[in-house]
Order: sequence, then C-alpha cells, then structure tokens
Amino acid sequence: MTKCFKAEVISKEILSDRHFLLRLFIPADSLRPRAGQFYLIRTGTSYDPLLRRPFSVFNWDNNYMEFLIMKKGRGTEQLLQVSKGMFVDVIGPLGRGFPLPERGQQPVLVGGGIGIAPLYLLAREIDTQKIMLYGGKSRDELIAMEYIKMIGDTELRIFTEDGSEGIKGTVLDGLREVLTDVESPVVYICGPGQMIETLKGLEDLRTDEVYVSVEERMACGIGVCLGCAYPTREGMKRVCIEGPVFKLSEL
Amino acid sequence: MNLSVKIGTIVMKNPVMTASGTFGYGPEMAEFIDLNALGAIVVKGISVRPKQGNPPPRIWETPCGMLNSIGLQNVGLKAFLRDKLPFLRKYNIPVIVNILGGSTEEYCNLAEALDGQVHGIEMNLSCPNVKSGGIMFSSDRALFTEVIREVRKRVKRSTLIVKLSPQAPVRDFSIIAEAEGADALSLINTIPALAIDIETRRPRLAKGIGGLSGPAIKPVAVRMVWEAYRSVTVPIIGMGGIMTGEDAIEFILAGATAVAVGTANFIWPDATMRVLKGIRDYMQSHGIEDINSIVGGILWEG
Ligand SMILES: Cc1cc2nc3c(=O)[nH]c(=O)nc-3n(C[C@H](O)[C@H](O)[C@H](O)COP(=O)(O)OP(=O)(O)OC[C@H]3O[C@@H](n4cnc5c(N)ncnc54)[C@H](O)[C@@H]3O)c2cc1C
Ligand SMILES: Cc1cc2nc3c(=O)[nH]c(=O)nc-3n(C[C@H](O)[C@H](O)[C@H](O)COP(=O)(O)O)c2cc1C
Ligand code: FES
Repeated sequence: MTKCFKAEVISKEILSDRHFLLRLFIPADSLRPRAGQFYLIRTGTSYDPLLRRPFSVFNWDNNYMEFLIMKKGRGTEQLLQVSKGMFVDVIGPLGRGFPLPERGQQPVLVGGGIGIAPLYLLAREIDTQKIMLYGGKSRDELIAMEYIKMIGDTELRIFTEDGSEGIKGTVLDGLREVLTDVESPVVYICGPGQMIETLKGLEDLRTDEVYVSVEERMACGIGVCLGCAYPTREGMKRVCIEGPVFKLSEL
Repeated sequence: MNLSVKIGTIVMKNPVMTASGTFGYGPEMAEFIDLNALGAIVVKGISVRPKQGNPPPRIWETPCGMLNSIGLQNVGLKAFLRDKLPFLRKYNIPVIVNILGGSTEEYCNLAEALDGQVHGIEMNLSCPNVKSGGIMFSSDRALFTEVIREVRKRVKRSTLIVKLSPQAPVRDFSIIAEAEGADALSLINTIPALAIDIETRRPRLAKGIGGLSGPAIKPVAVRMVWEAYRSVTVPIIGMGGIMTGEDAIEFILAGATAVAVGTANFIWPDATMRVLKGIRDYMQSHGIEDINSIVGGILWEG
C-alpha cells in the first residue's frame, strides 16, 4: 500500500562528486517495495523547487530504504544537503516493478549509469544465477561498484564507451552478444533516455521477454495529473501507474 | 463554527473543493484522504469522445510553479458515466463535472447528458473553437456568450458554473457569464506560458505553450477573484496556487465563497485536508463563527 509520510534520514554516503546513497528510516518490511518501484521525495518547506522528485528503491531492509541518487539540478542538489536526523517527505512505493523471472529463464540485467539503481535491488531479489551488464560513458559513471560486486551468483560484465574500464562499447552491444549465447533469456533494462530510444530501434530485441524501466517528467506520481504520459502501442500510459516498467514490445 | 457554503443549489459542508485536472476521477486520491471530508469534488475535464492528449514532455517545473500541456486527455463522456461516476456516487459529496468541447454543440451534448446526473457542471471554456479557426471560447465575447446561452437552456437541474480564463478581461466576462445565466463563476484557469531550453533553443514542452499553475500565479488569481466579486452577485469559486489555509482565506477575503485546490494535490495528496484545517484554525484564532461572514471581507474599497 502506498504511503505518504515524513522519513528520518539515517545516513548519507557520498560515493563520488555527483553520486550519493541516501538511507531513510522507512518501515520497509511492511511496505515491501519491489525492484523497479519508486518513491517521490521532497525536502524543505520552500515552494521552489515545488515538485517532488522520483527515485527508484535501491535497497531495503526491515527498517530502512536506500536510494542511489545522482546530482542533476536543483532538487537533487537540495537532497544532497540533507543530513542525519533531518526529515524528508516521501510517498511510495509507487508504480509497477520488474516481474521476477520464471523457472528456467536466464535473467539478464542491463544497466546504464544511474539506471543501475533498480537493477541492484532486482539482482538481490533474484536468487538464481544471473548475468549483469553495467556500463557508462567512462569509468566515473560506474557508481556503487563496491555494492554491485557483492551481489551473489552474478556474472558481471562492465562496459565503457571510452574503454577506461571493462570492455570498450555499450551495454546494448554486450546484450546482443549475450543473447546469441543464452537460451530463454528474460532481459531487464534501465538506463538514460538515449539508451531507451536506441533500444526501441533494435527490432531483433522485440521478443516478449524484455522489460524496460522508462523515465518521464512527473508532478503527482499517483496517477492524477497525467503529466507522465508515455506513448505505447495501446495509447498513452502513465509511467507512474502503468509503468515505470513496460514490456519493450508494448513501446 | 459554520463552514457550510452554497454554490448555486449545491450545499457544501465546507468551502474546499478540488480543481479540475488535479484530482483525477477520485479513486487514486481515496487512498490518501477521506473523500467525504471534501466540500465537493471536481473531476478532470470530460469531452464527448475520449482524447489521447499531447505527446511528452507535458510538464516543466518553473519557479514556484509548473507548466503543463496535458492536452485535455480524458476518458470521454461514455466511459465517464459508465466507469467513473458510479465510484463517486458512493460518497456523500457533491460531484461537479468539468466539461470541454470544440464546438457549442459539443458543450450542449455534454450538458444534456450530465444534467441531473451530477450536482454541478463546470464549463472549461479555455478550449479552441474548431469552427472559428481555433479561437478560445474563453476569450471571444461572441463565442463565450453563445456557448453559455445554449448550455444554460440544457442545464435544468444541475448547478451551472462558468470557469474564467485569466486571458480575458475579468469584469466584462464575469458580467456576460452572469447575464447568460451562470449560477456561479470559477477562476482562474492556468496562465498560458512558455519556457525555452537555451541549449536546444526548443520549448521545454513538446507542445510549446503550456499552462502555468501553482503558488507563482496566486496574486494574479486573487486580484481576478476580487475584480469578479466587485462585478457580479453570483458566488465565486477561487483558485490558483492555493497551498495552505492562509492562501484560501486570502481568496475568501477577495470574494470567493469556495476555493479549489489544484497543483498542491501533486505535492501533498492530502493538500485539501491541510487547507481545510488551516481555514478552521484561522476561524478559531480570529473568532469567526461563520465562514460566509468574511466572504469579500477585504478592508479596501479599491
Ligand atoms: C521512475 C523514475 C525513477 C528514477 N530513479 C532515479 C534514481 O534511482 N536515481 C536518480 O539519481 N535518479 C532517478 N530518476 C531521475 C530523477 O528523478 C531526476 O534526475 C531528478 O528528478 C532531477 O531533479 P533535479 O531537480 O535535480 O533536476 P532538474 O533538471 O533541475 O529537474 C527539473 C524537473 O525535471 C524533472 N526531471 C529531471 N530529470 C528527470 C528525469 N530523468 N526523469 C524524470 N524527471 C526528471 C525533475 O523531477 C523536475 O521536475 C528517476 C526518474 C524516474 C521517472
Ligand atoms: C495538470 C493540470 C491539469 C488541468 N486540467 C484541467 C481541466 O481538465 N479542466 C480545467 O478546467 N482546468 C484544468 N486545470 C486547471 C486547474 O483546474 C486550475 O484552474 C489551475 O491549475 C489553477 O489552480 P492551481 O494553481 O491551484 O493549480 C488543470 C491544471 C493542471 C495543473
Ligand atoms: S506523475 Fe501525475 S499521473 Fe503520473
């Protein structure tokens, strides 16, 4: 059930000059967020910035929830200023997450940059062997590596476009290669808008078992403003309710 | 303490309503608040046929406000009556339906189908008239007059509310609306506005122009409510950037009998309840027995 409340900041871990991990005191055990679901977060009492910002659940345990956040504009800058003991406004868990793999399916997780956030939780939810492809433009876009390396039962492949780490190339190149090798794959993808656009152009990936988490600007996050509409084969869908995870074949 | 107000024949237990397009059709919000505690619910604008709306991006945040170009996306009249209205009927609150059309006939069809089915009909006239090359009903005197006159003939049981656009001169248009038989006025709708991405030199919204709402427009809205109040005797529903009970009181002092909460619902799903509590607190601390006693209570002749 979705809840709207004030959550205390337990800790803020700085991961790079642009990335941080925010841990909030949220009774996660009762809310049980699924990988791919998200929260809307707001801090401060000022009307500027006005709207809440959406962030995927990165991780949770009995009494806390973690969000992996990349500093972008004013809202995330403001979130970076919070400190232990402060309270932030949260609403969640929202949206529909990734469906878990069925028996016999080979999970392949594909994350670009900050898109790794929901995939980390998904990788932890899947208790069978999985392949994880993680990439960015260069090595400084590969965040939270120390966390990702710790996920059990995972074959991790790293990609950078400039070759500064791992294999030179994109995760989508990597995905095509993986797909030639594995039988009955189920693919989970989250990455920047550009990557999703490229993905939509790859006709050969339009098998049924590819799930993509998409982003759209949001105001309410609860389905009432219709601001987050995303064009699909069945007309406009709300990213905050029918998404953010869609089947690639729907897009 | 009396919070009850009257808009046309609608008796509301308190003056707090929802602004059209910011509250869906109810069910989403019922997870967060008790809908029965609202003065009235105003649903998303309905057209004769369903509309897909505009392509994304549809939203852009601006200082203390936001632009939207939803493009009047809605389920259409038939689906509204079949799928949405039964849910709202379960609650003990007045239901007001916002209607939008591309021609006078469309407004009339909507009015006929909804009259007596719902407590109130609110005409959103910030819609382009297809036959006159896209001129807004809300900014053309002749179109505005005609559409209200025709709809009035068809609304016999429900309360008829005319929603004013901030683009037209308020005094003149309030007077026309009242003369053509509107039972109440509501204002303001969003203010047309533009934001530009200076890197791509393209508008921030796919559609270009969007409607500005939120705290940024509040002073404009309060002024317009005040002007309308001085021009007509029918009750006024004030809206535009209401976030708190204090904001609502400002509108009431300017002349609003009821207030509608819009963009604030996106920030706090329980914004209407916060506003209601704020109004109560103000009345208590200022010894006000009846909310109606301070409608238009601004101490200024203008
Ligand atoms: C479902 C979902 C999950 C997300 N998960 C994460 C996450 O786990 N970690 C993370 O760092 N970021 C995530 N994002 C992106 C994040 O919401 C934006 O980066 C953030 O809102 C930017 O706010 P800002 O004020 O710093 O930037 P600004 O650019 O100043 O924001 C201006 C406006 O644009 C909106 N906006 C800007 N970028 C985006 C975007 N990419 N998607 C949607 N709205 C945007 C903001 O919400 C705000 O309303 C997610 C977005 C969505 C839709
Ligand atoms: C996302 C959004 C959708 C809206 N849709 C409608 C609509 O369908 N019909 C209408 O008359 N007004 C619509 N409005 C205008 C609001 O009802 C209200 O007049 C305006 O937003 C000012 O109030 P606010 O600043 O409190 O939001 C919409 C506003 C927003 C922000
Ligand atoms: S963000 Fe408002 S409907 Fe999705």
